[in-house]
Amino acid sequence: MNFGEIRERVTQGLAESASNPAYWTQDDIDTSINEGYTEMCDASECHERYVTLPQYALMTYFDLRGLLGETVLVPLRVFTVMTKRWMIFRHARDMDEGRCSMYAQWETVSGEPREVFMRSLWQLGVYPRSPGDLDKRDSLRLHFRGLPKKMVRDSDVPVFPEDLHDGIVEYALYDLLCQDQEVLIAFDHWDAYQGWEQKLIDYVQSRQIVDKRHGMSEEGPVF
Amino acid sequence: MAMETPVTLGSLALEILRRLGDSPSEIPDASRIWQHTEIERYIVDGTNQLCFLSLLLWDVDYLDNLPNTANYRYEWERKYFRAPQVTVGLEVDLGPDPLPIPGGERLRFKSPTQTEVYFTDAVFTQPWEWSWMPGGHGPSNHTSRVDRDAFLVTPYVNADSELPSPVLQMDRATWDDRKIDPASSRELERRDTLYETVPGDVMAYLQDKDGLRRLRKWKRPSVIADYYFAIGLWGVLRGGANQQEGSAASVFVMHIDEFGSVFSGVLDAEPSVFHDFTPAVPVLATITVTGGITVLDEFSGFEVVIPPPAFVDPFPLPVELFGGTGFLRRLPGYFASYGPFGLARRMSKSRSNVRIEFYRRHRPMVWRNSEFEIPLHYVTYIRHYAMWQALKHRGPGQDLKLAKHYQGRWESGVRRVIARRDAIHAARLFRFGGTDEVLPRGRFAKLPRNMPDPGF
Repeated sequence: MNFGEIRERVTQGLAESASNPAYWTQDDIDTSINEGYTEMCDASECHERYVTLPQYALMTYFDLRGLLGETVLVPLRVFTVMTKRWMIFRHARDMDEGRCSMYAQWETVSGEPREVFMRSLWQLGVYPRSPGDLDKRDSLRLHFRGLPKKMVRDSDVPVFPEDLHDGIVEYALYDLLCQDQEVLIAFDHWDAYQGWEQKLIDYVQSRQIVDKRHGMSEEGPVF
Repeated sequence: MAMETPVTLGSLALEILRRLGDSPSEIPDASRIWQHTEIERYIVDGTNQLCFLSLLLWDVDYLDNLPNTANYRYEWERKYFRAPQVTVGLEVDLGPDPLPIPGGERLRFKSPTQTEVYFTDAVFTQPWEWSWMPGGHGPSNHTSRVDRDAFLVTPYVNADSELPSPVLQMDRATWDDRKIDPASSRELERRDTLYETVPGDVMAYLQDKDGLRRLRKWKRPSVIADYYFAIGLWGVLRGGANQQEGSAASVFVMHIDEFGSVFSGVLDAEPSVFHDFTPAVPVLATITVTGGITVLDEFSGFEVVIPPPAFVDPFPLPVELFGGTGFLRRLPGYFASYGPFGLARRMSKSRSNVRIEFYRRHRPMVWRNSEFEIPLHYVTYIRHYAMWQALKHRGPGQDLKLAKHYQGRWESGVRRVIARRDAIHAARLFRFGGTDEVLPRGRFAKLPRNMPDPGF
């Protein structure tokens, strides 16, 4: 379903006209649909993307809220374009305990970044820090789970499979009916929505599990 | 990059009133079930609760190893100072009850007719007096920063500091860019009965006996931290030299202000919802400062050449300025504390200084146009909190069933944030096909193992 079709389903559920709703404005309906879309993606972390991070001189921490145009929920992997290596995820404590550097003042070290660590949900630290400004060709590639952009045009389609789009419809109906104080009916839609949300979470988490037989080693699959 | 409409305290309150079926208006009206101010209060509570429970906001600040400047003793004296409280580019006298601003004590700059106010309860001037004083902190032997910068013969650096008001929980502390650990007072007093006053390098910190909001450095710093001389009476940080520590050549990076001003026909940076920047091609302005001195200029838009006095670094520096107007937004090697909004107001150096990394509260939301520091989808959780509080409030709008539903949504949101934060740290991974490279332990601040226990 695309955005227009989802809206049509929602207006049908509200017994409203899709082209000219009387009780609800189209903005109300669109807002609730997008909130449902965001909620499903937030719960399931289903939207995976990558972006290129700039490297600024002597900058240890990247504030992922400000550097990226979209919302990062969980950073996954970081690739250094310059050295063609995947960076190692660490904890800041590892740095202090000498697991990465023998230098106690590790924060002052500059060089080609090798390792990354997180402070809270959106401060991404790199070690060592870059000695100078680098353009995007020599920069870091961050793979992350985030929130997709809101749907605006009728042709916009949610990022997860169409079979689960009904979850957005159920959420929008729940949200709008709650605002109308139709609590009992709204809760029915909420229960239905939760089922769809769980299905999406299971779908996202089971992608690699259902087909997996063996572990991997440096040489390849271990049989 | 499309700029999303910011959600403010006022706009979220209106949204909640609309969702509750009440009249969405900011004007008080006795006929309404919920007033705008009541909903705002719930929103502020929810914001603080979210930050407290999930430790969402992480930040960095300095407890500067500098002599304590003090010019009053008791809190009630404060209202007799008519000090300027400087906000972004504006000089605002907020009267006797200034609004709380994180690090607010340091936001005040001296003006010729007004007096500096340094919050302190220091009451004595010599270290030996400490034991004779009922409470209070010190010593403080000067009353103005000018005294400290130019005339102080015997600088005393206090061992204990007040934590910045937004601090919720300490995460890490460093001295001279080395990690220092928390120590217990019991452990230290066994080793040295005078541990509170003996000077030396800072090797640990205490938080277990001086109060919840205080941090004691051990040992008491014997060296004053490097710091910048503030030039100018008020305003924001505008320029400087020698701002790159340990480097003779200083490159100064300035970006145009957060509203994406056009400079030389090129948009310097596209604004994002959090007012930070994507990288832009820097425009080199033809500005050269020939005197090597750190400058905190007035809010003028012009660089000021300060003649290098004898005590300042001897090298004349060319200062490259990226962008010709605007505010300082980013400086190599420095972390922008209390971001992502705002302007640089003060700078601290790490050398011989104590830096703290901590989880903090949300910045105070005191105006209706106050924006949230957290991403918008987390603001939804706060909306659930406010609706829970509003619906459980005894009165005509009470709906306990719906209130319970929103309580559940709020709690599940908080759980989700905590789980996400924990998962990030638990998911430390190594490269596929590679091995974790474990280096031997580095050198730590402790006695060599072949030395006998000094038996303190």
